[in-house]
Amino acid sequence: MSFTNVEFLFFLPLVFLLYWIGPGVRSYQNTVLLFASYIFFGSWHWQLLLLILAGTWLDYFISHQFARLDDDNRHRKRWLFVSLAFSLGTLCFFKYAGFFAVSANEGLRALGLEQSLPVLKLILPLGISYWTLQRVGYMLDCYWRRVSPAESLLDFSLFVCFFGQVAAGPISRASELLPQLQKARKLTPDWLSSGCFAFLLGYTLKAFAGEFLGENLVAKAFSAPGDYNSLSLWIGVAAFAAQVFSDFAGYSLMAIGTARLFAVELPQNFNNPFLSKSLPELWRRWHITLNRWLFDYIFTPMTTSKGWFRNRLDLGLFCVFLASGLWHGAAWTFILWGLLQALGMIVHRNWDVLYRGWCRKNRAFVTLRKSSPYGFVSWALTITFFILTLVPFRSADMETAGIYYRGMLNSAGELALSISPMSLLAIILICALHFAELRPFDRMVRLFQSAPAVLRGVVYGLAVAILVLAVPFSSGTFIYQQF
Amino acid sequence: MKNSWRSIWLLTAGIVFALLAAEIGLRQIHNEPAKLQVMDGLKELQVTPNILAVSSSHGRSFHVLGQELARLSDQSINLTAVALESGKVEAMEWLLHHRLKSLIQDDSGKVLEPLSHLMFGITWWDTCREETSSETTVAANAPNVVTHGWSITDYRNDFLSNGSTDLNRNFVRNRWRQAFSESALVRMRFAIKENFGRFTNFIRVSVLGGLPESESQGLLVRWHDTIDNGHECFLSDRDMQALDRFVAFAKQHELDLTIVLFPLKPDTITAVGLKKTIEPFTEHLFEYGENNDVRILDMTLSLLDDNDFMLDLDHVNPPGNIKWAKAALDGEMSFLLDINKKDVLK
Repeated sequence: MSFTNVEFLFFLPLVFLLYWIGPGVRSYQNTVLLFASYIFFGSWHWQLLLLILAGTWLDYFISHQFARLDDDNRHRKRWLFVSLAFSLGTLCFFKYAGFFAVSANEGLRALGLEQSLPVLKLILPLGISYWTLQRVGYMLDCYWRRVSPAESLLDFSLFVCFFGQVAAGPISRASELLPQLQKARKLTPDWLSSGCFAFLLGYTLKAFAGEFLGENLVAKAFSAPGDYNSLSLWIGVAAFAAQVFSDFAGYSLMAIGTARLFAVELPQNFNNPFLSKSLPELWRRWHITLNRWLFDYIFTPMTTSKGWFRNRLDLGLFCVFLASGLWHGAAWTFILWGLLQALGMIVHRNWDVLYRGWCRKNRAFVTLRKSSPYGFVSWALTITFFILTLVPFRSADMETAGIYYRGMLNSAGELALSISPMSLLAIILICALHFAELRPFDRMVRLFQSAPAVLRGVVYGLAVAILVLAVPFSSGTFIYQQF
Repeated sequence: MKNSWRSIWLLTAGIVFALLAAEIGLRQIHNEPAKLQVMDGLKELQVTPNILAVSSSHGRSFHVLGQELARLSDQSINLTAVALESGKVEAMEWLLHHRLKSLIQDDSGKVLEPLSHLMFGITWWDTCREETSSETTVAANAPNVVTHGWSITDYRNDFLSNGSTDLNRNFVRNRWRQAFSESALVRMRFAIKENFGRFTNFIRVSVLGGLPESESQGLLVRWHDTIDNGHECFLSDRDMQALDRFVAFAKQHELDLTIVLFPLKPDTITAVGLKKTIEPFTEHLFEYGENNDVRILDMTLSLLDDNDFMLDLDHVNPPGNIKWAKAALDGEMSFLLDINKKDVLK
């Protein structure tokens, strides 16, 4: 089951009713949510429920060992190793075993050796990259004594497998989600209306904008980049940036909306990333919860430790984005994408250090940095760089990425992509979403919000009717669910 | 902005009002009944007919043939048409053995009275497939079997073995579609997909009265290309083996069998397509019929003209169906009117 499957439209109200008509106590509410979460997860592949159950029980037990062994750092470290070995081991096994075997076999062949490793074809457990990171984050927080271990196994199980976020995040910190699950929730009109609005907006973005951009522009350009002219290839990769944003921001909004219906607030995952004027800003606005996880649990411990890595910020950035690339997928194209992001971040950091030096010497540089032309150039460079690096991210293999890049510079292809009315509408929707927080568009949003409730209801109802008719049939899968 | 429970109720009332208005409005402009699918044929088979016609989506034309046959025979001859969307002989044969057989046989395996005739409507396309491993299941090659042919047991077994997959989700999607078949919004959603491909085409046809000439021409060119190259994939081993099983079933149960080579739109067939695909396919089937003692009726180009087909250039439109049924029963299929006289079929 997925948020865009029609059965979810029945599953969600049913769980909603069961949740709110029962006694308003924490244990009942969490039991309903946990049971629903296991059905949601099991509907994907019920045998793999055992994996998430095993991980949950192990980490619950180990987190309590941390508390018990308060002064015994040696044993605490051992237990942490066991937990990380299990979590990251299963992640690597399911996600990377095939990739390493194929890469090793290619290496052996290049050396002229006949031997080859068996390549396992494994089913990837739903959302494993997300709930593994959430659990690892919790365990590290417990180990570092940032949070206390969850007292109730029920609360902790729900923290790991809440159906609102188990498939593709947002990845919550224990300090954000656990306290909410540890007390009874109460339904208010604000929870209900903001939840429904987020879900509808997310669905529109994902199933309408994302699908049309993908079908009309992205899939065509990336399936045969050699056949299209240069302009079409530029359009294709720009459309992919918009598609992946619609798909994932849409999914995240649906997750946030779903959680709000149960009076639970999940962290924001996207914050108008295409308004970013620098790469660090972009990564604070794009897939926020993954990036803060990477900085919380890789970058910061690494660069503030007492060891060799201390203050080696460029190396820290390199490691963070290499991990990000690998997290997105077991393929060289994702690794290249991660390395390009790392390079961009390192160049930006050094430029920033240099520019700050100039600012200290001459205040005119401060004024220049605040000027509109500087802002525009920064924005254009940031977005162009980000879009260009998406070529390997979307390409099936390195060879296709190479053809795509060459074609963007000079293509012999004669085919041209035409932007269909639906794709144009999708682009307008994405722009409107970004501009909604800027003047004067914010006034229009407020005007709509202050309109009579019936009128707003009619607009939402018509939007639903149009979605029923116009959403493409292929809109069932999420790009980010596969990571 | 703070919400109150009153504003939530008003908001909900607005949503319900808009959806009802859309539903009522669509009923005014689009009131076509849902297309016949396998499920409809299975329901009809609760009463055993004289003739069972199995076919791809062209089976909807056989439904009209059945109506004409019943009219001409004063309701004494019944034909049940089972139309499997997207066709393919292997998929249709799977349907016969897994879903239809139990409905037309008694517990001892004997075919129920008064069924005496089996019709099988195919085109060259139904035998065309890319090379596939002989180990792959029918369902893996034919999502249409999953969508329209599977029972809940088939789905349950697959789900328990493989979990929820893109393939077995076809079954679930179709069940939802049937559950909401009374909703004009849902019917319209599927009608747009099936008749126009996409929403924008529907808007264009509604506003402009048809697709732009360039797009109709583009579709025709794609059909030319498909049929011109059909010889590269037709008469596939898997489908011809399935045809053997189909024929064996008819013989085993002493059912008279007619294979109908269903009409194609004449202007979709170029001289190349005719020479390389249509004629060799027809010749092969006639030879097959001779070797296996099966009646072959070639109606590919004999009874209908270009105006009798839908915008998709594949399916026969409603007036075309009536024309085809009348012409067929007046000509090569006239023997069906005498089907109750057993010796006629021998």
